[in-house]
Amino acid sequence: MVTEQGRNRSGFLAVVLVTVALSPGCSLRSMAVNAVLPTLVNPDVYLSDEDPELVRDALPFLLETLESILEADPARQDVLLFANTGFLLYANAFLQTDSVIAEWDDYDRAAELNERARRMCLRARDYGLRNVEVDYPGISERLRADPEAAVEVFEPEDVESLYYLGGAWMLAVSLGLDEPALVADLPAARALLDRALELDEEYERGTLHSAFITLESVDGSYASAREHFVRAVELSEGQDAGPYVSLAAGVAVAEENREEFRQLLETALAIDPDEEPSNRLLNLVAQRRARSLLDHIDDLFFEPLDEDDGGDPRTDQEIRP
Amino acid sequence: MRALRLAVVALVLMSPLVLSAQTTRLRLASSLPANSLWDRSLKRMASEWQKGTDGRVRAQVRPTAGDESTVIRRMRMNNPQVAALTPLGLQEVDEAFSVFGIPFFFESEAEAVHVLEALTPRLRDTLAENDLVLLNWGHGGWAHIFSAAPVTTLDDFRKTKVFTSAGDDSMVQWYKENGFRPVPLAFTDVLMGLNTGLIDAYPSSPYGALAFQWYRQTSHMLDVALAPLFGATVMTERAWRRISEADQNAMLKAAVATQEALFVDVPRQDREAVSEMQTRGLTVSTVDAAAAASLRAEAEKLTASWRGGIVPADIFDAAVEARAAYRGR
Repeated sequence: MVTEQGRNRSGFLAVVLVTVALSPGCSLRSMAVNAVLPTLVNPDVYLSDEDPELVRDALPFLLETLESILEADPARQDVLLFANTGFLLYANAFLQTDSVIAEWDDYDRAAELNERARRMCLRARDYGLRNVEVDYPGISERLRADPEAAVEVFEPEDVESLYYLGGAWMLAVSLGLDEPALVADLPAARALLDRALELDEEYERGTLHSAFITLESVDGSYASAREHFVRAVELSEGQDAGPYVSLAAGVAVAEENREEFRQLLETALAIDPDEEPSNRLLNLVAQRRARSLLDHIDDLFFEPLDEDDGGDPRTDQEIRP
Repeated sequence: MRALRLAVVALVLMSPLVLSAQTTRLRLASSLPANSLWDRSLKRMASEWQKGTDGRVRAQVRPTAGDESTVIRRMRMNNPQVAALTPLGLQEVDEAFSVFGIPFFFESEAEAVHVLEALTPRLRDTLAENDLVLLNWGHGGWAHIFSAAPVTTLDDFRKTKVFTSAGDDSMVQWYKENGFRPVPLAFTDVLMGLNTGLIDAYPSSPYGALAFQWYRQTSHMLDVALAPLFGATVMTERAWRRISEADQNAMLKAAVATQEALFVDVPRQDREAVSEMQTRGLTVSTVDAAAAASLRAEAEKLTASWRGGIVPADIFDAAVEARAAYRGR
């Protein structure tokens, strides 16, 4: 039942909306958008979801919507940051993870997914650059010319922007190592993440340290990767599966430490995603990767090689059928 | 009893069919970074093997962090069965492969490819003596001299502190005997060496200098190429024998197509890398034809001692002969 008071309020609202709609320089659309945007661009909604497939299906529509909003309001920083975050999340959590898993059976499919992930990361990077350009005009050019000096301007309140921009850029480079133009930007991506770590090493309960496990292991700096692992686990109080999976895939495989690999992944799988709701989605994604890696443990590790050489011609190791 | 006999006969008759339908699963070891041009080409080749053999041959490209000598030792145990070896790995198999590393020996890509093709039967035999089958040649680009100060002559090069691979004693000795200042380092310590001034020059492909960011400490590159970096995909004889001839042919067809693509794509990638580095401060030192010829002539005298030393005499002579044939065309 509609009360008198309710009718009056609706009438008032209608008048206001019509008036606003007719006002020059403003629109109903932008009002509605402004009202709903803070909710839409809140990544916590997605990161705490218990159903990765729902997020996978929902994100593209949201991202396309945000791109339309940015066409009308190109310097809106909260939307730029979410576009950076959202495209990176979609590329990393879904496309890249799918690609890594597809690689066990189908290289063509894995390559297609990788290529999509690379393109998404570049979109994420471009939104991230636009985001920091609002506060630091000309920073994109300076990042490419002299990255270590350029990042000095950033302040502690920029850490979130640095993390998502640096992460998107770094992932784009790692997925496009056959493109020298992209590879040349590696120092810029690295400088952004280094600066973020310098400004707030505790950011998001060790998220930056978690990223550095992969960065250092790719460089072959396994001791450093292990130091970041210890700190990431400490800051996340062992509730983030990411560091365990990163160390297993990046370091334990490289060091041919099968037992450590297994232990790390089993620890990752033992984490209850509901214990830390703000990280639920990423924990579920990391656990998906952990299961895939454990399933293929025999493909990842060679048989031990005797120190006195493995040249016994009678020995004939075969990988499992 | 009769039924049992029939069953046994049927099994015996069936077994070759069963065997031929079996999937051969291969592990292809590679030290090349994931998502690089080389990694992608290997995975494409693996995919083609699977398609070309109707799924009877499946190869999984697996990264190996260990040095290539470990991979080669493991291949004696037939696991991995296939490996993409770099020039250093090939030299571990046999020193004959050092022939492509003779400094300033080749004047052009076409000349180097001509010599590679001429030497292929001999090198294939060398691999066979090591129970390995050559599937295709790989291309890692061309090594150039990168340096902090400009280098356009060998005397300029002598003034540098040049990186050389730790453990390559014959190379260190050759450098020293000819007045150079080699600094043996692990590959992973090159950036540290450049940052601390321990070294100020190194041979590298342009892509390598870009990807490892070494060029940021060495803003000069000599345009005259030092040597091509030819690798190879090899397979153990034992695993090869188990594959039917038809499937072997399908694999070789895909391997050749991969080689042809690499020999186009890698030089292009290096050109792009030079261009990118130039926009970021790299200076490419070009020399005129006379200066290049003079540099090559001097290098030829210095590298004469490679014959019978670093490179077996017969393969050295064969390379000189093939090069002369190319130049005489």
